[in-house]
Amino acid sequence: MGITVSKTVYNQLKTQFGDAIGEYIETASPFIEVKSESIREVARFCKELGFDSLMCLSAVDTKGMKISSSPQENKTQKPAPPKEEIQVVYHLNSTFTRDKIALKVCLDRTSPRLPSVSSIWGVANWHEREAYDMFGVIFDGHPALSRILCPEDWEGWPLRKDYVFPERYHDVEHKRKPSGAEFLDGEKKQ
Amino acid sequence: MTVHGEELVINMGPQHPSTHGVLRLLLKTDGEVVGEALPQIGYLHRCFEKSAERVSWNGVVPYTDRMDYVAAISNEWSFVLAAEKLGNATVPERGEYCRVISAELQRIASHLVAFGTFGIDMGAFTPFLHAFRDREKILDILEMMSGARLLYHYIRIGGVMSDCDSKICEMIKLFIKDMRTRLPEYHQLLSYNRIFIERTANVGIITREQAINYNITGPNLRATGMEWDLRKCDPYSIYDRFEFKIAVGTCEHGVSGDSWNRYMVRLIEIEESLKILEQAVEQIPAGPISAAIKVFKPAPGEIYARTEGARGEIGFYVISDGDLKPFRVKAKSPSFCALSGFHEYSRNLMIADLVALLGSIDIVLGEVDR
Repeated sequence: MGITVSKTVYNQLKTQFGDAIGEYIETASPFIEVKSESIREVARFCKELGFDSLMCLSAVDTKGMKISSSPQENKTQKPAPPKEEIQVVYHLNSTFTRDKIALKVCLDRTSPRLPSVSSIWGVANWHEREAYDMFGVIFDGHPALSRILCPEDWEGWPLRKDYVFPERYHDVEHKRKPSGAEFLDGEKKQ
Repeated sequence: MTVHGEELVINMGPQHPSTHGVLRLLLKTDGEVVGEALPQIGYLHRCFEKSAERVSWNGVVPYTDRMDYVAAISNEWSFVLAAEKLGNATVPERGEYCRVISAELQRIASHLVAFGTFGIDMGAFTPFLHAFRDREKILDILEMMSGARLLYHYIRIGGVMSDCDSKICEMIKLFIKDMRTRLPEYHQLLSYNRIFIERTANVGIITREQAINYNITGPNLRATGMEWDLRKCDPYSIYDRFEFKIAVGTCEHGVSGDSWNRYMVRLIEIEESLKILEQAVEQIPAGPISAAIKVFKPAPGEIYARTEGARGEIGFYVISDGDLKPFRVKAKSPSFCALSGFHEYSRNLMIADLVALLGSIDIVLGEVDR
């Protein structure tokens, strides 16, 4: 997969969708920024271009990131931390041309919301449920958005960077005591 | 098939011998016919991705072992590959050969488990004992190489943990010779057994369109006749140096994409892996096995790296913010994707055929739930 391929795809997307397509960012695996409202149309267009399989759909919470993973535009400046946001990343693969591209959508951290692509790639259904389960991202138009790995009544979004670990679940306490704590308790009683 | 009784919802699992782990299937049945089978997962969820954010780059590797515990090396390799590409680390020649040898041994071991347990699912107990006898030999070799039997922590960033010396190479040569005499036995025992063919051929068909839509990879995709193997299609490491064929569904019995063909692809892959092993053991050069990396601290960036595991494409989406720990690790597991479309290809199957379908997809729940 050459970088030239994703550059051509980027140009095609840019002419088709205009402002809905953001920057083309080169890192170890380059990606294309997409506005959240038009992700479904962009995804459908990519499928028509031959990207018939969705390899991976991941969500990322950039809170607390020290240096942005995308290269800085102004090289002279000190590397800065990125904006705090939730990102949803789509890794696509073409079984015809063997090309790969990645699309990235940046969302507001307080209410991350974007259209679902589960009608375009069947596998997105579970990936989106996982992103909802772990990050609380709402996918509009998803047939059954519910928790998938955690229990239905779990509270909070575990993979967010500000997640507070629960101390009890269903009346079972699971706060870890410092090692040897029970031994100390015994000594006190004596 | 038309039975029009009352719809009955049955729980199959999470403690059921043929769900291969803690998978619960919610079956909406009409007599013996399954109208819809909805997989309920998460019983083995350990939130590997959260743990990975709290340990050093090298510290993540043992966690990846515990995802797919039947084929641990494939997971290690995929994560390490992602980390190495981010950090621009190079691996010495001999290290690459050690990786190929361990990964191919692991693939055979994993396919032997698939072969044996699928036999049990179909009511044949003997093949399981044969498969585990032969798998034990691989585990012995891997134990010699890494010191562990199942969860190896063998592949490290920059190379491998210990050498594959001449003694181990001799063991592998003996194993290859031995395994080649066993494969015809396997075919006699199970592959061309009349009852087995009746139970699996034309049963549980996954079409190519379905497979691509649900991103099913590995042997399950190849059973539909599609030549897609990342070792050839998106080559990594030194796989371009070896001569081997991509195993695809033969359609000797049944149609492409059915349970029998999925099963058969794995047995052909064992043969092909033996070929790779034979060449690797012959070619292995002298030299160091690992690059000397004192502190691994890749520059900020992100990458999606993938390898061909025993169950399909194992992918890792890794983000670095220039710290000693990865900022985000997302594991794409092939079994998770294969299960996500289960409701579609299990429609209108008999309950007994559902077992054939599930057994031939060969899932590992540790990897589904992570």
